[in-house]
Amino acid sequence: MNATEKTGDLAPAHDGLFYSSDQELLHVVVPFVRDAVTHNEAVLVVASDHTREVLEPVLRDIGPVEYVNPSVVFRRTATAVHTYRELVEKALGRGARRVRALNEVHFGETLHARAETIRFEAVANVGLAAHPLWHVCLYDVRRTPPDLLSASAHAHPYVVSADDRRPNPEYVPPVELLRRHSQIPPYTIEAQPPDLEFRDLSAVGLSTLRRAIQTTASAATVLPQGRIDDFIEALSEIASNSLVHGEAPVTTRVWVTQQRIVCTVTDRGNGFDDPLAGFLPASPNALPVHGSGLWLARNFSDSLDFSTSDDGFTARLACWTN
Amino acid sequence: LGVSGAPRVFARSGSGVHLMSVAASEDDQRSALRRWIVGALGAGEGFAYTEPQGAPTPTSVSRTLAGSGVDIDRAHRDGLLWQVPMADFYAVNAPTMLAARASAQGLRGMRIAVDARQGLQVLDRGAYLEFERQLGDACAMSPLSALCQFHADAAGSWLSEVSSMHMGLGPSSPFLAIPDDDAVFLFGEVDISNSDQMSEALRLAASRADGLLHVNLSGLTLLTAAGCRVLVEGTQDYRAGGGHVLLLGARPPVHRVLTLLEFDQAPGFTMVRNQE
Repeated sequence: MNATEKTGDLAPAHDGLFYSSDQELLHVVVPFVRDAVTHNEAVLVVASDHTREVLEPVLRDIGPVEYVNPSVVFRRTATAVHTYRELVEKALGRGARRVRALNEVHFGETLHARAETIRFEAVANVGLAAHPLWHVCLYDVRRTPPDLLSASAHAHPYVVSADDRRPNPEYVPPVELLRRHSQIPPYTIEAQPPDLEFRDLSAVGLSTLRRAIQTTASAATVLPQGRIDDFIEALSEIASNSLVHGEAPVTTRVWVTQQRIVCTVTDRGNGFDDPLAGFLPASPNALPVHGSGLWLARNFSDSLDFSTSDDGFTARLACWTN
Repeated sequence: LGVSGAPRVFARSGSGVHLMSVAASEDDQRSALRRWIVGALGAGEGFAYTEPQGAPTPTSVSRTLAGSGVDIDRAHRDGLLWQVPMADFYAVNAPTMLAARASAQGLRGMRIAVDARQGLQVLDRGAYLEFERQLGDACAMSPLSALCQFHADAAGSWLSEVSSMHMGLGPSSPFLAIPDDDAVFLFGEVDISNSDQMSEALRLAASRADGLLHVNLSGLTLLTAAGCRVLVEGTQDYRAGGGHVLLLGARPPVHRVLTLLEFDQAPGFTMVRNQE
C-alpha cells in the first residue's frame, strides 16, 4: 500500500477509506500509522468502540496513538471543525510536525444526523484545509447506510485502498456538495400546531421570546439547562439575522417535545445563498465580525438549515438529547 | 462584587436601576457612594438620603461629599439633594413617593442610596426584604435608581435572597451598562436591541481609561454576536491607540461565546476568568 507516498510534504489531506473487512482496514491503517510515527507525526483515532477494538491491539505496538471520544467531536459540524483545529494545535504544540487522524464520522442515526455527517465531510475540505492534518475517514461499507455511503463517496478529494491512494474521480467540491444536500425535510412535529408562535417579532421582543422558550422548554423537555441555554443563544442569533437582514414580518414558531426543541424563523426576504455560511470560525481580528452570529448558532444548535418557499426565507434549528 | 455608581447609567428608558454593592470597608463604601451621588447630580438627577440624628457618621452624605467639589448647600437649595427623615425613608411606599416627587419637579430621574446596616436598625429582616422588593418594583417602573450598600460581614441565606432582588444578580436581569473610571460593568443580556447602549458605554469608559480598560462581564447572562461586535468596534480606537481591554469574570456561557469568536487570541484583548 502506498498511502503515504504523495503527502510527504506535510500538506493537509482528506481521504476516504471504504472497506469491507477488518483485514482490509488494518492493511491500510497499519502502514499509515507506522509512517506517521517514523516522521514524527501525531496520530489520532476518533472512532466507534467497535473500530477502536479492531485497531487498538494492533496499533499499540507501533507507537503512541491518542483515542478521542467520537461523541465529543461529532456533535455538530461547526464544533467538530473547531475541535479538530484544537487537537491539531495541541499536537503541534507538543512538537508533532503534522497530525494524522483516523475518523469514523458519525453524528447519529436519524435523517438529520446523517445530513450532518455529509455537512462535516464537505466542510472539512475548507475548514481544515489550512491545518497540517491528514485525515482518513473510515467507512465500513457493511455497516454504513446506503444514502450516507453514496454521499460520502463525493466528499473526499482522495480515496485510499489496500492497493493505492489516488484522486477521487467522484469528488464534488464542498459548496456544490452542501447545495446538493441542502434540502432537509421538516421535522414531523412541525405538522402539529406550534407550542409557541411569535408573529411580527421585533428586536425588543427577543428577550420575551427567550423567556417564553425557557419556560416552555424547562417544563416539557429532559434537556439539561445548559443545552436549553445554548439553544436560546442560537435562536437569538438566527432571529437577529432575520430582523437585521431579512424583511418583516418575522415569524418564529417553536415546538417542544421531551427529547427535542425545533424552531423555525421565517421572514419575507430572499435570504442568502452561501452553503458554507456559519460553518467556519469567525474571528474578531477581521472587522467587523461578519458571519459570527451564524457561526455561534451552528455551534449552539444540533442542526441548522435554511430554505426558501412561498412564505419567504426560513431558518430551521433544532437541538435534541444525546 | 464591586458595583459602584458612575456619571451615567445605560438602562431602559423610563426606568431606573436597582444595584447592590458589597463594601469591605467604610472607605470603599464612601467612595462608591460618592460616585453614585456625583453621578446623579452630573446627570441632572436628584438624590434623596436619610441620616441618623446627631453627629455625622463616617458614611454620612456630608462626610462623603466633603472634598468632592459638590456644593451641598446649593444642591439642597436647587432641590437636587433631599434629606428625608429616617422613618419616612424606610417606609414601604417611600420609593414610589420619591419617584413621583422627582417627576413632579421635572428632574430626569431620582437616585437613592440605601445603607443596609442602617435600614436594619429601623426594620426587621422581613420588613427590610419587603422594602427591597418595593424598591425593585419602583426602579423597574419609574426613573428611580437605588444603590443598596451592604457590608462584607453581612452573611447568611438572607443575603442571597436580598442579592437576587438586585439587577445583574438575579436570574433574568435587564441589560445594563455602567461605565466607571477605566471600567465598565455589564449586566443582563446583550442583543441587537441594546448593543448600541453597550457601545456607548464602552466608548465612554474607554475615553477615560488610561491604557487598561476593565470590562466586567460577571453580570452578563447572554452575549450575542451583536454584543461581541460592539466589544470589538466600541474599543477599536482605544486599542488602535495602544489601549488594552481586559474581559473579566465571564460566566461559562459568555466565556464560550468569546472563546468561539477567538477573543482569547485577539490583539488588544485579554480574557481573565473568575475575577472577584
